Amino acid sequence: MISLMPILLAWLAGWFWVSTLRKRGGETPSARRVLDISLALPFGLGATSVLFVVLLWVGLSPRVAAILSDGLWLAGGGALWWLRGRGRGSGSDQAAGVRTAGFRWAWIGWIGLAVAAAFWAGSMVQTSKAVPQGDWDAWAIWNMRAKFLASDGKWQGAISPELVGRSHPEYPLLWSGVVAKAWSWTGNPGDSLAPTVAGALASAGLASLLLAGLWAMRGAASGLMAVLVLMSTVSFWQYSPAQYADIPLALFMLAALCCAVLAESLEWDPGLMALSGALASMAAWTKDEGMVFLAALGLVLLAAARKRALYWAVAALPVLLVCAGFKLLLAPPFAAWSPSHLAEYSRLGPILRTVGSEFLHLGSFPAHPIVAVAACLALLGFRRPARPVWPIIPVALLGAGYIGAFWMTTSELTWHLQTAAGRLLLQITPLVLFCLFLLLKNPVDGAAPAATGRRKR
Amino acid sequence: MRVSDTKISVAGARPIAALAIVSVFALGASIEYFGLIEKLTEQSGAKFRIESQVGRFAPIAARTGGAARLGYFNDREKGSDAAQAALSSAQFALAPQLLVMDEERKDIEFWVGDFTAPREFAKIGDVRGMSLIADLGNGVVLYRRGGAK
Repeated sequence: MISLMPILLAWLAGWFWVSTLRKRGGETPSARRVLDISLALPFGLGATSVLFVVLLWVGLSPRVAAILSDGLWLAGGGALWWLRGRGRGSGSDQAAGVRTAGFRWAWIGWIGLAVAAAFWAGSMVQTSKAVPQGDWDAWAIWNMRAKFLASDGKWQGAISPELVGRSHPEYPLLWSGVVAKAWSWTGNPGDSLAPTVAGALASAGLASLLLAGLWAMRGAASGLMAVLVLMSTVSFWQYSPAQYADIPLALFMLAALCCAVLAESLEWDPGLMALSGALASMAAWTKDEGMVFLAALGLVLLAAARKRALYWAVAALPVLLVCAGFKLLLAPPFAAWSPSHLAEYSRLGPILRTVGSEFLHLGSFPAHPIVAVAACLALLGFRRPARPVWPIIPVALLGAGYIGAFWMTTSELTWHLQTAAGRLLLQITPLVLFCLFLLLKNPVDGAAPAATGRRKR
Repeated sequence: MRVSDTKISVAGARPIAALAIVSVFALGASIEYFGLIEKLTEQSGAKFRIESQVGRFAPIAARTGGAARLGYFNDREKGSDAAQAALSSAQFALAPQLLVMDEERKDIEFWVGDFTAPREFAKIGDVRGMSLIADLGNGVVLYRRGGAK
C-alpha cells in the first residue's frame, strides 16, 4: 500500500497548485470542487514525474529522486497556496459562459452515471485481478521501462538502443515515470498495485474532468451527457484496465484544452493559461501524439489570445526543454515516419476505412455512442452563435496528425492500423465530446417557449 | 445575455429526453461491457501469462549476479508473434537486466534459453558455443558462453 502514497501525495500537491493558479469563474461550489480535484490529478502526477526523471538524469538514486520530487512539489504547492490566501478568489459572475441556470432533471443523469460508474469500477477490479500487469503495451513498454527507472543505477536501460522487440526506448517517459516513482518509494519494482491504481485513477480522472469542465461552463446536465457518452464507448472500458499511456495522454490533453477554454471565459486569465501550457507540455512528455496537440493548441492560442499566450508558452517551456533534451541527447533515433509515403495515395484508403470501422465499433447499435450524440444534437441544438469554435481547431489538427502519422508510418500499415487506430480514437474522443457539448445549448428549467406566430389567440 | 435565452439554452421536454436517452444507453453499455471486457481481458491474460513469466525467470537475477546484460534466445518460430511475445514478456520479467539477442555478442557471459517443451538443453547450448549452467525448470535454462568462465 505504500506504493499508493506517492500517487496520492502527487495528487494533493497538484490540488495546491491548481487551487492557487486557477481563477474561479462563478461556477457552483460543487462544480468548482470536482474541477479542482480533477485537474489536480494530471497536474500533480505529471509535474512530479517530470521532476523525478530530471533528478534521475542528474544522478540521484530512484528513491531519493522519488521522495524529493514529491516532497518539493508538495512543499512548493502548499507554500504558494498559503501565501496566495489559500486559493484564488472568484472571477466576475458575469464571466462569459460560466453561469448556468439550474436543471432539476439532472438527477436522471446522476443516477445513470452512478450505475455506469459502479459497473465500470466492478469491471476494473475484475479485470485487474485477471491481468494485474495490464495488457501488451503495459508490460512490453510502459511498465517494463518503469522497472529500469526504478532500479538503482539502471535508469538508462529505459532508453537503451539495445532494448529488444517493440519496446520503443525513444518514447517519452512521463507515464513510466509515474509508475517508477511509486515503485521507488517501496523499492519493489514490478509490484502491480501502483500501475493498476494509477491507470484506474487516470481513467476516472478523465471521466470526472469531462464532467466537471462542462459542468463549470455549461451546467451539470451538459457535463453528465458528455461523460455518459464517453462511458458508452467500448474503448474506454477496454483500455481503462490496460495500463497504457493513452488514457493519461487523453487526460493531459483534455485538461490543457479545458483550462484554455476556462481562461478565455475569464479574459485569458494568466493562471489558467499557465496551467493549460504546463498540462499541454506534459501531454507532449507522455506520448509523441501529445507533441502534435501541444503545437496545435499553442498556435491556436497565439492567434486567439495574442500577448496572453506568453503565459501559456512560459509555463510549457520547462517540460518542453526536458522533451527536447530527451529527444536530442538521450532517445535512440527511430525513423517512425517516412515522408516519401505521402506520394502513395493508395495508403489513404485503408487508413480511412480502418478509422471508419473503429468509429463504428465504438459501441453496439442501437445503444451506440453515435446514436446518443445524434440524439443530443437533435434535442438540444447548437447555441447561436455557436461559440467557442477555436477549441475545435487543435482537436481537428490532432486528428489530421493521426491520419498523417499512419500515412507516413514506416511500420507495416495494416499492422499499425490494427494495433493503434482504436487507441488514437480513444485519445481524441473526450476532446471531441468536450468541444461538441460546449457548442450545444445547455439544459435549463422551464417550459419550452411557444413558437412565435403559432400561439392561439 | 440571460440564461433563459433560447439561443444558448433549451428548456421543456427536449433536454429531459436527451438526458434520459444517454443515461439509458450508458446503462445498457455498462451491462454489456461489464461481462465482455472481463472475458476479453481474461483471454489476453491467459494468452500471455505475464505473472507466471515473472515467476519463471525469477531465479535468473541471483544466478547471474545481476549482470547488466543477458543473452536471450527462445524456441518459437523466428519473427512470429509468439516469439515477440516471449521476448517482450521475458524482458519485462528480467528488467532491469537488458536482454540481448545477437548471438555474435562475445561480451555477454550469461545466456537465457526460453523453451516451450523439454529438449536436449545441453546439446542446444553446445551448438551455440555455450555450456549449460542450470535447468531452472518451466523451460528456462541458463547458459554461460564457452570459455567465459
